[in-house]
Amino acid sequence: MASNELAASPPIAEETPTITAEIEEMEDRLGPLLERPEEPCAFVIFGASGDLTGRKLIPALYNLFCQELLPRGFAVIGYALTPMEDASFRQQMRQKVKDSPEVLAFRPKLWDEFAPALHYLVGDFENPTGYQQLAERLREMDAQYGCGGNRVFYLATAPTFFAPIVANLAKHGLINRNSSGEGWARLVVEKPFGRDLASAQELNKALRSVVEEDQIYRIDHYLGKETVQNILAFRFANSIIEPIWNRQYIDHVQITAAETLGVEHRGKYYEEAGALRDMFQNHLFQLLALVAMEPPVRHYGQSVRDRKADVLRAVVPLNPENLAESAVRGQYGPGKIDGVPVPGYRQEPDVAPDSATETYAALKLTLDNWRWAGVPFYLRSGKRLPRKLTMIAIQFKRVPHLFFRRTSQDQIEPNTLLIRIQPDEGIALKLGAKAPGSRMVIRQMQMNFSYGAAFGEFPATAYETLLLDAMLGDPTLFNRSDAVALSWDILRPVLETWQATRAFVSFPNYAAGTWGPAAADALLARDGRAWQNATTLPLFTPTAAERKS
Amino acid sequence: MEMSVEKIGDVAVVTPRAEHLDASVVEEFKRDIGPILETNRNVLLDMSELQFVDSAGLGAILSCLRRLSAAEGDLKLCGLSRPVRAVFEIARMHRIFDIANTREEGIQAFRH
Repeated sequence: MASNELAASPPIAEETPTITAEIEEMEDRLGPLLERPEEPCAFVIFGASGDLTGRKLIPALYNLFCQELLPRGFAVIGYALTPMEDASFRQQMRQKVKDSPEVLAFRPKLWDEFAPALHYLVGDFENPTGYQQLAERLREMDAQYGCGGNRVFYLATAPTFFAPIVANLAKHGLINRNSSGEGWARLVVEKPFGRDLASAQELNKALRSVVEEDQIYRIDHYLGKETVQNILAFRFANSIIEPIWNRQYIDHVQITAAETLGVEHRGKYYEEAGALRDMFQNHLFQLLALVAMEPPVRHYGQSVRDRKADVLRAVVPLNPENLAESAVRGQYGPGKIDGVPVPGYRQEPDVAPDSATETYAALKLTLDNWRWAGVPFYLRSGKRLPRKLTMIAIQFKRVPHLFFRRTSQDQIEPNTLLIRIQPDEGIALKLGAKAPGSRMVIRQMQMNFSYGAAFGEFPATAYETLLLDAMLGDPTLFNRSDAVALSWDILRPVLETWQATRAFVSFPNYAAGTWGPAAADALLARDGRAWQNATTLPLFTPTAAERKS
Repeated sequence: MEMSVEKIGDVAVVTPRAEHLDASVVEEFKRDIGPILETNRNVLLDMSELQFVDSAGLGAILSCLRRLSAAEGDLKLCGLSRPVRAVFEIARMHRIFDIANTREEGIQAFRH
C-alpha cells in the first residue's frame, strides 16, 4: 500500500466519543456488559507476601482494573509479617503481573495507573497491634480513595490463622456487621476449609461467632473457571440434553483430575493433606454437584447452592467395612513423564521416606435419588499421571439391539460425552458412524466443540470472576457451610479408615507416568467398565510417549 | 487471510483485507500474522476494512498484543468501525489496547 493512502484512512475520532447505540445493539445480541461494582471498597489481603497474592490475586485485580471492572473507589492493603514498604510491594507485584500468564497483557501505562492504589502493612496475624494500625489505614483509605467504609477481607494465609484473624478483626470492630453504622464487610476464605468434618465445623463456628453466613465467601477457584460454569449452560440452555440426563440413558459418570506434576515444593503441605483433602473435598465434589444437580429456579445465590447441596446430601455413605470396593489410594514411585525420569513421592523434598500419604485416590459414589438411582459416579485424581487433564465423561447406555450383520453389539462403544475442563477446553461426543465402503461397518467418530476456537483464546479468568463477585456481593460461585460440611462428611469414612490403616499400605503402588494403581482399574473392571484414559480419547492431542506407543 | 504490510519507520502497518474476523477465519489470521509478529516489534493493525469482529477474533488480536508485549514490543489498533469498536467495549477490551482514530495517530503514538 502506498504511503499516500494514509490520508484516506477513515477518521473515527470525531464520530466515536461514545458509541452507545452500537453497544446497546450488541448487548441485545450478546448479553449485557459485565457489571462494574457500584459500591466502593477496600480490599485487604492477609498473607500478602505469599505466593497466591502475586500469582493470582494481584494479576486478577490488575485485569479487572484494565477492564474498568473495579469500583471507582478502590484500594488494596496487603497485610503480612514480612517487612516491606509500599514501594517495594508495588515493585514485587509489578514483576509478578508482568510475568503472569494470566494477565490480559502487561501495559506499563495501565500498571502505573493501577499501582498507586496498592499499599502494604506489616503486621502479625495474631497480635492486636497490627489490627489497630489496619483500622487506622482503612480510615485513611476511606478518606483518600472514597472506599465508603466497605471492606473485603481476603484470607490468603495458612488455615491455622483464619480463626485468629477473624477474631482480631471483630475485636477491632472491623468486620462486625454495621459496627460503625456504615459500610459492609465480607470475608473471602481460601481453601482448605478444615482438614476433616470436625475441624471444618470448628472453623465455621469460629467465623460464625462474629460474622453472618452471608458475609462469608468460601472460595474454590474451580467454580470460577469458564468451563466449569459452562456445565450449567450446557445442561440447562439446551433442550435436548436434560431429557436424557438421568438413569434411563446414562450408564455411569467419570470425573478425572489428573496432573503430570509431582508435589514440587509443596511436600510439607501435601504430607498433611493428600489427594482426598487436596482435590476431592473441594474441586471434584463441586464438579459432581454441577453434573448431578437438579435445575435451580434461578441462576443466583441460594437457588444454585441449594441444588448443589442436595447432590452431596444424596451421596450414599461409604461403608468402612468394605471400603476397598469403593475407594482406592495410591502413591507414585519413580518413573518417567514424557520420557524424562522423575523421582518417586518418597524421594521428594520434605516428604517422609516411609510416607503413607496418598498422591492418588479413586472413589465410586452412588446417589440416592430419583434421577441417579443405580448410576455410579467414579471420581479419581492423582499426581504424576501421564497427562494434565480435568474431564468429565458421561457414558450413555449401549443400544438395546443391533441389526448390522458385520458388527456385534460389544464391538460398538457406547456414546460418551466428554466435558473437558482443562486443557483444550470444550465438549466432545463420541458417536458410532458407518465407515466408508460398500459394507456396513460401524466405527467410532466424534463431534468436537472447542471453547477456544468458538469464543477466542483468553487467559484464565477464574480469580477475576470470583473477586468481582465478592465485590458485587454475589455468592453463587462460592461454597456454603452446609456443602462444605456435607463434602467432609462423605469423605469421613475414607479419611478415618485410611488413617487407621496407614501402617499397612504398600506404597508406592504406581510408577510416575502411568494411570495410577492397578486397584483403580479393578474398581471399574468389577463393574464391567473401564476408565476413559487419554489413549482412548482421540480428541486429545497425544503426548510424545503416547504417539510412540 | 490476505493482509497488506507496509513498513513506516520501525512500525509495521498491517491491514487485513477482509470484512470479517471471526471464528471461521481466525486460524488463518493467526497463521498469516505470525511471521509478521516474528520480524516486527511495533505493529499497527489497521482494521478499517473489518466490519465484524467476534470474540474469537478479539482473542486472536489479544494474543498478538500479548506476544508483542512479551517481546517488549507493542500492538496498536486504528480504523475501527463503530460496530467493531462496540465489540471491544462490550468485552471491556478497549482500555487494554491503544486504539488510535487514524493511521497517522497510530504511527505517531509509537513515537511517544
